Amino acid sequence: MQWLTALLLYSTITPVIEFHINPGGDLTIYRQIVAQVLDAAAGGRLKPGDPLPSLEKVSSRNSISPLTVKKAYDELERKGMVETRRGLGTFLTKQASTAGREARLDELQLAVRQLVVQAQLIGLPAAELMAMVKQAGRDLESERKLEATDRRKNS
Amino acid sequence: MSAIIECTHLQRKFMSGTPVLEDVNLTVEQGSVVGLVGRNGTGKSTLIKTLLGLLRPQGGEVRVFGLDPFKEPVAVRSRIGYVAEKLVFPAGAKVGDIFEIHRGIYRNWDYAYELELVARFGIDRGAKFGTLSKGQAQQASLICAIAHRPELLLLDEPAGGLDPAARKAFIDVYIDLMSKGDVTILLSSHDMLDVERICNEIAILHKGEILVKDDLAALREGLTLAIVPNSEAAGFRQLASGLPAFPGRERNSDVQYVLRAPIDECRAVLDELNGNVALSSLSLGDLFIELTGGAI
Repeated sequence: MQWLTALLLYSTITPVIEFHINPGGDLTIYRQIVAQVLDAAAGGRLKPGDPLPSLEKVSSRNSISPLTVKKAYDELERKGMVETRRGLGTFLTKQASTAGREARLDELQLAVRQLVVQAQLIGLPAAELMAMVKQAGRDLESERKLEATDRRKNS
Repeated sequence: MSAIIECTHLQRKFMSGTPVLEDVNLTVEQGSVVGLVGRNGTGKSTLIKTLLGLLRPQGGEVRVFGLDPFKEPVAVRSRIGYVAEKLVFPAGAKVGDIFEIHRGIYRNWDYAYELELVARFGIDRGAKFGTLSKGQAQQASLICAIAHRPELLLLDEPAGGLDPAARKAFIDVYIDLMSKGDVTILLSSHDMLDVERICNEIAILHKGEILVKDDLAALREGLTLAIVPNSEAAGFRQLASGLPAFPGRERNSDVQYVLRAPIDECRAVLDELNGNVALSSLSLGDLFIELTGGAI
């Protein structure tokens, strides 16, 4: 009976992540897969327990080698981000969302450093840079509101 | 893992007598997919023809499935699928007849697979080979090369001259084969995006030898491109003195260096210059140009 339950369970699980692979990109293909899983986990699009699509599916959908996809999944497993349940597939672990967030924070920190260096290059004081960041936040907020009202009007 | 292909100190001259393969050492493990890249005329096709037993090595040894392909051509060829850009069948022969001849040659010809591929490509069995478009002719050749479910695929610019849609159809067939079975592939191609999609290893043939053979991702990730404005060049050279690098290439207002270190390591070392030096990874194409001697 156990396998039947497993089968029923499996049929209801639909992967929630689609990969977008650019073979000529800065990152090697397997890194792109790893990064997209981490991003989805950090952003909450993938939740602990969510399945990743099968190796064959990722490979055929994106026309990339199954060996490359396996390398990415192995790397994610090594990092403790996913676990493979035999016969069922690969699933996101609990720690993935926090770890994914940490990785993103790391990247953000680097981006901020670059921003600071750019500001220093033109002699912009830190306080003015801060003001620019806050203003950018407010601008985005009001643009989003505007778009939301537009959408409501249109529908 | 066992080696499917083993070349040791392989030597071979062109028919004209010019040496081309001077000391080729190459091992391809079972289940791996190796991209064989090299400038025009470096002998990629010659190497593949030697593996097929069409050319006799003039020095060194070649083993395919542990056998000498020149001495035991049938035993070796029956387990290989070979696709080349110019693989020509008689123009007057009907496509269906060409398949039938192959069905007779190969004991383990998979007829169901032949039908599947014919349907997938939409090939007309009644058409004469000479009337097929370039793409369809190559698809027909592909079917002849893989319907006996070979353990080893030797692909010599298999999609050369095809449009992007036809290339993708080819790639999807290889990916399908890789997913379903334990096939080993050696792919010679100038299209670096195809190589990146299909291959997990890369072998660069240069000046008669295999210059590099490595995991594709590891090779790419082990090199970093630094674009240094002239004003920062002195500071850069001082900081980067510990990083092994290829000679810099001067452009108008900056110098480009390829560093032999992962990007994170370079970023850490060049921390002070971070805002002024642009660090990025190398595409497979750039990497190839860099390793085979820079300027074209």
